[in-house]
Amino acid sequence: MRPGILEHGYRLRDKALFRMIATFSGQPMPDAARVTFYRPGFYGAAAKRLTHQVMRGDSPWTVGERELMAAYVSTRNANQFCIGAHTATSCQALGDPDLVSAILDDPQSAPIAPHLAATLRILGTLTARHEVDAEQVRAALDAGATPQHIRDALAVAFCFNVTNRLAEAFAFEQLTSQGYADGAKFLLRRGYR
Amino acid sequence: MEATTAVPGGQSRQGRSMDDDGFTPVHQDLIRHLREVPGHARPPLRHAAFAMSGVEPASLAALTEKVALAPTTVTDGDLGVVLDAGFTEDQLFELVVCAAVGQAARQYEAGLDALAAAQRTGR
Repeated sequence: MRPGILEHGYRLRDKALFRMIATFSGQPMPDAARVTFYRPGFYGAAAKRLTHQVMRGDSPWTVGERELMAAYVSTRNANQFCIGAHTATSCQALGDPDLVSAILDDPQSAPIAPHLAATLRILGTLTARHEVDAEQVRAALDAGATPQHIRDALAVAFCFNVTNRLAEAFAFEQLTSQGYADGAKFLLRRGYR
Repeated sequence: MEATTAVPGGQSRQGRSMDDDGFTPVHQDLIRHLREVPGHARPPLRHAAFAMSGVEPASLAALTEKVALAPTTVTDGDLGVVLDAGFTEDQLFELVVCAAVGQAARQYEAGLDALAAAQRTGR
């Protein structure tokens, strides 16, 4: 990671935790997790609370659908770290890698519920253009999404539009396929806290 | 370096306050945190990075704009010129976080605006 403080500037107890996790898991602590330990009072603690509530709290969307949204936003942002992490997590949560691949490639032609396809279209537009018009949102409502569906999906996009940017600016190191798979298991078991 | 109390956030798109338009408490918590938590970068500069407006010097403006609008293009050199301009790595960390959260907040707000407009047209 860059700058150097994000590689070396952690508290001793956090460095020990990173080493312990690497020893027991056989994988390095992902940079997305490590960065939340750097001066957590500035960003990491609040970010973890937010992300856990958005991704694991009450919502009309399932955990798998929210992970899929995270992967889709990351795909539109072309952020390789989060594409790997959340594609793996949504594949494990939904149990259908071929379907996840089809959705990320083109939600509108994938065999999914119309309100999910329309909501992903909103997130894609918002991520690529930084704005979305009312017609696209109206289409999602007409397809069966409730206002709560839309608000919760926008919250997922908020979280990953932040994390994707930090991943690029701080140069998060990509993981191996096994590393992403192991990380997905952790995220599904423990969430983002 | 002396710690300061920061005030990023504040006015967002179309001059509206981020507090006025439906952020859930958990979003407010993150943004309030960036506003109030002691830090290394001066509060006006954190505010500017969050709002992507009035950032100086030019090297920092270029970096925060890339973080907000073209994050895949950020390079070691972009960070290096900001450090060469006299900023510390801790200041750089804070200002990048503010730029990233600010842009995501503007997008989130645009989505909520579109939802409100769609609900009006559906009535």
